[in-house]
Amino acid sequence: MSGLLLAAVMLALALFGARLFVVVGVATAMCFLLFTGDVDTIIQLDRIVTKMESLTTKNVFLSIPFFIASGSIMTKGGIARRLTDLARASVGWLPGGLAVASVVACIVFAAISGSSPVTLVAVGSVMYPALVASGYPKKFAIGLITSAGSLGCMIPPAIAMLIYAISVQGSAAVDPADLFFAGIVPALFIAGSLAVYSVWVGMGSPGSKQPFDGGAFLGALKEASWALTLPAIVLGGIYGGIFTPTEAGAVAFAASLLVTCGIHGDVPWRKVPAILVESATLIGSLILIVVLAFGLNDFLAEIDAPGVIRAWVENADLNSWQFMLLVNVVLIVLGALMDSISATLVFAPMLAPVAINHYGMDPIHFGIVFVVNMEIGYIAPPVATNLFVAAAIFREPFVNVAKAVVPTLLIICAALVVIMYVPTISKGPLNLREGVAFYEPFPWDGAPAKSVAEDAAPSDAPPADAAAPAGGPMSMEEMMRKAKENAAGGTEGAADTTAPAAPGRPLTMEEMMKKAKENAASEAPAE
Amino acid sequence: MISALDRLDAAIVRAERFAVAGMLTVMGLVVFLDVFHRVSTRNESLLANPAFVAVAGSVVAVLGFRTRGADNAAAKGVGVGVGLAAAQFAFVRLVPNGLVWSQTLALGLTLWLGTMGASLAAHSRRHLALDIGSKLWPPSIAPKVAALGHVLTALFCVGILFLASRSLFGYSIDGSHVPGHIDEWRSSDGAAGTLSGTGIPKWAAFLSIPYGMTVLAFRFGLEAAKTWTGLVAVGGDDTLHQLGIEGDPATGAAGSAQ
Repeated sequence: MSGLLLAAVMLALALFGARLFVVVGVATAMCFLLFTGDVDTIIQLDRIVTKMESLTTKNVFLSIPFFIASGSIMTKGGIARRLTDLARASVGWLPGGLAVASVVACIVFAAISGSSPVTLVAVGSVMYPALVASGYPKKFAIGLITSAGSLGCMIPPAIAMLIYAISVQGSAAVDPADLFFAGIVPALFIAGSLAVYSVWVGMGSPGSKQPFDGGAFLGALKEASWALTLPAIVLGGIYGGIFTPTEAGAVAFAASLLVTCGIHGDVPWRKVPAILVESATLIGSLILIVVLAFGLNDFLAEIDAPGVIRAWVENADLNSWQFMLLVNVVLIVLGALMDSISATLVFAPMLAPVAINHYGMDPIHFGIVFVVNMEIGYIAPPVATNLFVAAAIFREPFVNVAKAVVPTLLIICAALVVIMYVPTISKGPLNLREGVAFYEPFPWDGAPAKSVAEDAAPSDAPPADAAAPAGGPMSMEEMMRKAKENAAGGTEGAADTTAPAAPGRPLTMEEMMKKAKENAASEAPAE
Repeated sequence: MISALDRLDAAIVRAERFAVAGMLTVMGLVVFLDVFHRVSTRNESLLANPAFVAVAGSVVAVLGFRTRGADNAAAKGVGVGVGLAAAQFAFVRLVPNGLVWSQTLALGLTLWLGTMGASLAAHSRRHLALDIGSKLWPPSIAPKVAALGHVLTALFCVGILFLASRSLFGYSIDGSHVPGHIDEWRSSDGAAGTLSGTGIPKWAAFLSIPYGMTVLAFRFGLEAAKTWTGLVAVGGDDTLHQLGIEGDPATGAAGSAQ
């Protein structure tokens, strides 16, 4: 009955055109009111604000405004044109070269913007007319660019990965730097699959090839060289140990200003404040959804949603590959019905602990699989951001765009299956970097795969991986870190505040008052 | 009445635009300078050597000026390189411990940036919505339904405003006062209730929530009135606009989106 009421209210809000943050906020409030009714109502709702305030303890979140701002600055300049020119000059000689160049341009541009829709707009608006003019079928051009644009989720610095890392902080923590690194090969794998498809289509279009011109290539490389330094600085800085992913955001912000305004002069300095305001507006529309979803995470942790799922899968007697297949089907359906950020914030903390603790999935690998699913969510109708964007920029009906992406959607789904069951694709490079065996097995038997930490340390040593599952016994390092966090008054993550105490705020009085009230209430009938 | 409220709204927007641009700049600057300081003081780092900074800075600046097509690129570039090394030398000595508080300050500002950004997004109709209603309701009642949707949004904001005020100022329960962030900070003479590692009171950061909710409630209320009276049309919030992408397909210039 409560579930029906919740669904009815959500539907009513959607019908009235309520904003997404209201839908998430009301869902959070109703979950607390309907499903945890044994404590004072207002005190339950107070937790929504407490979770909003906890944003000031989530350092990873800080990188999101910076990456959004740097992406805005870079895309306002002529970066997209420079990168597409370079992509055409470098791979345009292949069969289907222009189409392959579109995929390459999407990859490089995504490494600058970190955003799927922006990549689609910036590259698509340049490459779509060129593809159609070169004789490629319109449907193919729309489908390819719309799908390749979604690679923005996967190429670091990917905002989708940062959101994933934030959402699982308390339950199955992952280091965003590791997630970035692990995402590179899967992204290239998906891009490669799309490129092969482009070559195959290009073979049937004789006019789609252009001869390689070394001079044009060098010219385009020179033009794009400053733009290419940005991903190099960001990734080099993170993996060179110079700065953290959070700090990388600020470095990217400064570098984007320097390149776009100072060196290329594409954007006058006087226009920078207006771009920053645009970025802030975008951050604002995102931040409300995120902070209100923190409350929903808190609720899910309180009702032990991962435990409920675990019990269900135990009853269903699913083994690890069946579970992962089910997870992917569910995530694709969710991604098609919800926007990807909300879906990540709500479902990642529910599913990750089960996959990791119960089925032995590697936290980084599961994160990559999750993000690929969300990438699919960007192009899977009906609620697919990139399809709406494509319909707008290509001036095509939504239905036509949805039909056009079907072949590329199937290719990405096939790539997802490979990425899911071959963890080496995501974990291999990370293992190499850590100096352990490249091969990472899939836990077919449900037992934890051999972890990096276990490989690196003697077998009897406690795992030193920061991404250790929350459900297992804590290592000394984890206990020390937890103690340090508690001492600093900061509590991070979704599942770490199942008690109603606010982070860093001595709410013992509130708890005492609440307890006293509960005691009084329980004693009353006896009297 | 509505036009007077519109003028008030425009004044708030001007102030908010100024504030968010400033905050984002300050946030980026302090975190970047902290990284710069750390790199500049790390013994094994080449960038800790002012001579290397001067040479490397000069090379990059010369290339940059050449790309820009500036006159006297070499002289200007060397000037920038030497200036950068001098600035680094002075910065490291003037601020020996670096800006260790930079991320805490930036996170506090993020809350303000986010809530002010959210209120700006309400002004420019940028908040994402699953706008099923505008396509389903008959045109005659669509404006009324949309207005009701805005009222619901405004009421939600008022609800959060109430909860945020309790958190900030405290509240009474069975005759006893449960302290809020301001009480905590005041009762300890500023020793407690501060953002970790800084003297910045938590309430100064958390005040952003009631502020943002007040302005959001005001803006959605105003939007409701304007939609009800037909001053603004229903719908029209296309996806590109909501995502902040004001791209021109002909030029390829685009804005940004998450």
